[in-house]
Amino acid sequence: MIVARGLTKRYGQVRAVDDLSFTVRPGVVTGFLGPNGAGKSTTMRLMLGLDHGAGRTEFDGHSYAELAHPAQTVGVLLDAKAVHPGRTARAHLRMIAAGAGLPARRVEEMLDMVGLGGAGSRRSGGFSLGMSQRLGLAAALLGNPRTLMLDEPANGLDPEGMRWLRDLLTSLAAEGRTIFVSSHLLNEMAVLADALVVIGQGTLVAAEPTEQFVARNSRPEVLVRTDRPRELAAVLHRAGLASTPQADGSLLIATGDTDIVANLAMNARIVLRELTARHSSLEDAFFTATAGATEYRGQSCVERA
Amino acid sequence: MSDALRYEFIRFRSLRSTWVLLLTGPALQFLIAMIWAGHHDMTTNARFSQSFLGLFLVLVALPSIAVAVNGFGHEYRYRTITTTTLTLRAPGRILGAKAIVAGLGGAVSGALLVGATLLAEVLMGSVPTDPALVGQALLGSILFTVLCCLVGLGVAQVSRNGTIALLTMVVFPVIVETGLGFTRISPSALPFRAAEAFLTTNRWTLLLPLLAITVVLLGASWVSLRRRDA
Repeated sequence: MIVARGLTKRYGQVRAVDDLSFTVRPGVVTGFLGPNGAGKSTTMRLMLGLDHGAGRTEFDGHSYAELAHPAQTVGVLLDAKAVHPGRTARAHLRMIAAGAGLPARRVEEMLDMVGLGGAGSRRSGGFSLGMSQRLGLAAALLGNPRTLMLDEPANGLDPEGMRWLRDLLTSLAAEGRTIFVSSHLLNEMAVLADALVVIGQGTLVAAEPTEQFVARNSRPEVLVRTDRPRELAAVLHRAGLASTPQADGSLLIATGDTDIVANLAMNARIVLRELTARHSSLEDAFFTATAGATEYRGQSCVERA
Repeated sequence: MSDALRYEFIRFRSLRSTWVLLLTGPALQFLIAMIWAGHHDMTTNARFSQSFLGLFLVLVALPSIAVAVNGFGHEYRYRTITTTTLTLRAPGRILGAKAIVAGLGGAVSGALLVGATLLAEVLMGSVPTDPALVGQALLGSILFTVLCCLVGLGVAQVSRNGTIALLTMVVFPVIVETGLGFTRISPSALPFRAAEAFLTTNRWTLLLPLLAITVVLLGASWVSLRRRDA
């Protein structure tokens, strides 16, 4: 279990991480989400003591500095490309294994496990981002740790690699390990993460099960198609339901109850060609939850035009 | 500490550039010694001593200094300092392991410089007859390269930049100390120049200025590792 309390990091007057507290439970994969610049990487570095700041993070009751055998307690992947390009994958892992007091056989086991068994003698400078991610995962798993902290491990992985990573993390969590994974890939997180820690501009937005987060930040909607959208909109308005016309002529109604919409349309003798309850995705919920906490936002094509 | 040393030693030996650089210095020294060995107007002992004098010693030591500089220079350039810090954790352990391995590399390189000089003399048909002279050169060469390597390592840590560190290790002894040599400052107070002189003069005090700089820079490195973000 990871327990983070009061994590704070300042750069001059700017608070990159502001009094962040959360708990990451074992047995599930916990996603760590936030917009660009929200402070995810800084938070992870604070948790490990790499950056100096306020607060304390405990891994099974001890801070990283207090751990007797850190590699066997916390496996870390923060930057997959942070490897000397002239060093072979095998030498990179042997170096870490030696420093952590781990047997050399773990190196070969991990190379095989991440699918780099045939590339162990290749210099890491020639690795693709996906291969570097696999090497970083091998390094994180060297000590067979009870906790894994991974920063964007899915970046650069091909679809097969994504599925492999998902299966790996899910199986590790099922063994009772604590898995804490940051990612920008919301669709991947929707499939992978059982719980979420969401931050925005360095502050905690949510720390709860994924389903709960989506439900809490969702707006129930019903989509209808009809040949008489204006008349249906008026009927809905009289019944106290707001509707928004869409570009394709459909109506988006602010309710989760399809029966009410169907009954109102039938009573008004309006034929419906589609009636669909729309469920918000994690992406929708994420944008809703972090709407006020996004520091860097691109201009949309429509706005530019 | 033994795990930290094993970590650092694997880091040191698993790069091809380490071996190329460590052998470059002795190869250059061999060429310089061959040139001096051709001066048959001088005694064998004088030719041997001349091979170690002047700015050439800094230049032949530079490749091994570069290896030491890379001890921290590569860590910051390739952002591997994070892995090193997470694995070894204690700043003292990180710095200690790097200093020991860089120092050992410097010592081997320093010994090879003398070996290369002797080889050149033998190939030209003569060997220095004074064992004390050879012993002094061996001791001086080892201590000079070890201290230079540690200074380079310290500058690389404090600046977090291998290029700056290597430039410092060229500019200070070659340009700054040469310039200061034209002033009234005693040559024995110029760190690199005084340490060079120890190769031919058995005066331990000549090493003190460079030793002092080494201690200050390693101390600053330790403080920097403790206080700055990794």
